[in-house]
Formats: sequence, structure tokens, C-alpha cells
Amino acid sequence: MAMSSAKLPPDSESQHWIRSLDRSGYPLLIARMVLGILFIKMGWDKIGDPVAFLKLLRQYEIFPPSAYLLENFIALTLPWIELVCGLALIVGVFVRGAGLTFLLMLTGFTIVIAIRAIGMYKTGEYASFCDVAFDCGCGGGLVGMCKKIPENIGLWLLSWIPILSVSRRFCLTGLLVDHSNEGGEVAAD
Amino acid sequence: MLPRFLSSSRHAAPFRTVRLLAETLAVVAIGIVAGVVVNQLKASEDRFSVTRDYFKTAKPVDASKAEDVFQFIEHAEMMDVFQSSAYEVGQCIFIDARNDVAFAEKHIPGSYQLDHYFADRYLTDLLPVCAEAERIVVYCNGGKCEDSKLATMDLIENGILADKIFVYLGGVEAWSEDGLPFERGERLSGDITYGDE
Repeated sequence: MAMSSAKLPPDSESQHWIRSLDRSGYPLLIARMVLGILFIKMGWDKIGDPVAFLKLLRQYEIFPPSAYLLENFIALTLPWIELVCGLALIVGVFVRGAGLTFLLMLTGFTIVIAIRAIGMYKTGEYASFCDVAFDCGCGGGLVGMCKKIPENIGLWLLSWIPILSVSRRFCLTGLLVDHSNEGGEVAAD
Repeated sequence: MLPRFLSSSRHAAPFRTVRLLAETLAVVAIGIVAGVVVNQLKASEDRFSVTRDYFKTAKPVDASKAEDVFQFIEHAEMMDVFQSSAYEVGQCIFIDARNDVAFAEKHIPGSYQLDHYFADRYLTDLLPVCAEAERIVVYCNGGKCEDSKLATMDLIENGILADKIFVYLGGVEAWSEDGLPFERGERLSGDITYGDE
């Protein structure tokens, strides 16, 4: 089961540098805090009023009217998934799973936001694409697309860090599980 | 799964992939369970219903495509009604179809409230008033808001005659643009403000 490091080819200089940086735990810590705080805020803002989130979701016209059960289910549970993932990242448990969940959610969000923004721009009501603004249901109210889409892409890239990082320094998992090896890397992970 | 230079030396890639998927499913499952449980713990009138088709009576999001079932009232006529004696004595009533927060922030003075999404909270008190009234005007935020149409359908489904209900499409936005009075807080609170104040 165990994979011997002796069988791997030696790291190149850049690979060694990335590995060292990752094992310091700081890239992961920064990514966890940024994503965690952001998603807790986004989830919390929506949890209190699922109806308002349902209305915003409906404006995307992703689902046919007959799929209202699915739409309702998403409106009820998605904010809670965001909250749980945010908390998991902050605390440092299920870090990779929370990272992948964010990555998948951000991929979906960014695609539907971009499609809606392009659709609104094509109506001819806006002088430029950057004038297109709407409440995307992300918890921040009215937002311009020239800000939102690059922001989402940045967060999407950031979400890869919890997935790829082997460090568990500063994580609850790292404290509870044996990490006597280099840089707090979790033996079980 | 991982680039080789980042991979753990202790475990093989398949193990890490399975663990990643298991963690992902775990956080999603915990989120779903938390959402469902917390919703179930709410009082029935405040509970969000997953099985209810909240929009079954107002399919088009765009107000300009509204179905023929609705009658509309123009802004100028709305002002005439507001200043009429019929409004003062309750022969004509206004119904604000927005939620509690928006209603408390401001509503057209004297308006009743009917939030379609939690209609049971309001209908018991509202239906006798509607039955007595000769004309009912329902409004929401304006623009593409459809809550006024949904509330209208709630009234019709509960036996109020459709031919005396009118939807004011301009809503709060149009009322506000003209600097007309709003009431803050509860109905008949007497706390009057104007336009966007």
C-alpha cells in the first residue's frame, strides 16, 4: 500500500520550491481563511431567507418550471453546504473535501453568472459588458460583472490549494492526527 | 490525482482520491442534513416548503408577459384612488405583497400585507377585509417583481372575486420616484416618510 519515495524521480528545483512552500502550511492557511470566511458569509446571508434566494435562483432560468422541487431543495440546502464547507476550512477538517466542494460550486456559479451576464448584455440595454450588474445570489447584493467574474476565477484558482496541498499545519486534523513527519503533513492523508 | 511533486509519500493515489470523494460527500451531506433539520425545527408558518410550487401562478418572470388573468392599474389612477374617500373608508384597499422586512421599511400608507410565500400568516385576517372591499390593489417592488401577481392568485384561490383585484405594476419604485408618502413600521403606525427618504 505504501508508496516508497525512493521510487520517485528526484524533484526539480521548482518542484522542490513548491513542495517546501506547501509544507510551510502558509499557502493553505491563507486559502482556508479567505475561502472559509467568504463562504461562511455567503451562506449565512442566504440561510435566513431561503425564499429570497429561491427568487434569485429562479431569475437564472436554469431549470424548467416543472423542476421546482429541485429548485426549492437547492434554495434550502446550498447555503448550508456553503456554511458547513466554510466552517470545515476555518477549523481545518475535511479540508480537501471542502476545497473540492467549493471548486465545483464556483465552477457552476461562474458559468451560470457568465451566461446570464452575456444574455443581459445582448439585450442592448448596456453600453458595455462592465455596465451589466445584478444580484447574483452570492450574498453581496448588486454586483458588476467585470468585478464578479474575475473575482470568481481568482477564488476558483484558490480552491485548488486545499485540494492539492499535503500540509495539514494549522489544521485541527493536523493536531489530532500524528504529524511527526515533515511540515505537519498528515500521515493518514 | 495529485501532481507527483505534491503527493504524499505515505499513500497511493487511489486511496487519496477515494478519501477526497468521501470528504466531499461528507461535507455536502452534513450541509443538506443541517438545512433540512433546521427548517423542520421552524414553526410551520415560517417553514420553507420544498414540495410547494411557489411560482405556479406566475410563470413569466417578465411582467410584460403577464397572463390575461390579471387586471392592471396605472400610476396616475393609483394616485387618484389613494386620494379618494373610498380609500379612506376602506371600500378600496391596497395590499403590499412584499416580505415583513420590506413592509416594515416602508409601504404605501394604510396598506395591508400579504407575503405570498408565507400566505397563511396573513390570510385569516385579510380575507374578511378583502371580501368587504369593492376594489383591491396589490403591489410589490415594481420592475420585474412578480409577488403582486402571486398574491393576487392567493386571493382568487381563496374566494375573492378576480374582477375587483388590480395589480399596480409600478409598485414601490414608481411610488417612490414621485416622492409620494410611505408609512414605516406596522400598518397605520402614523410614521410617514416621503420618496427615498
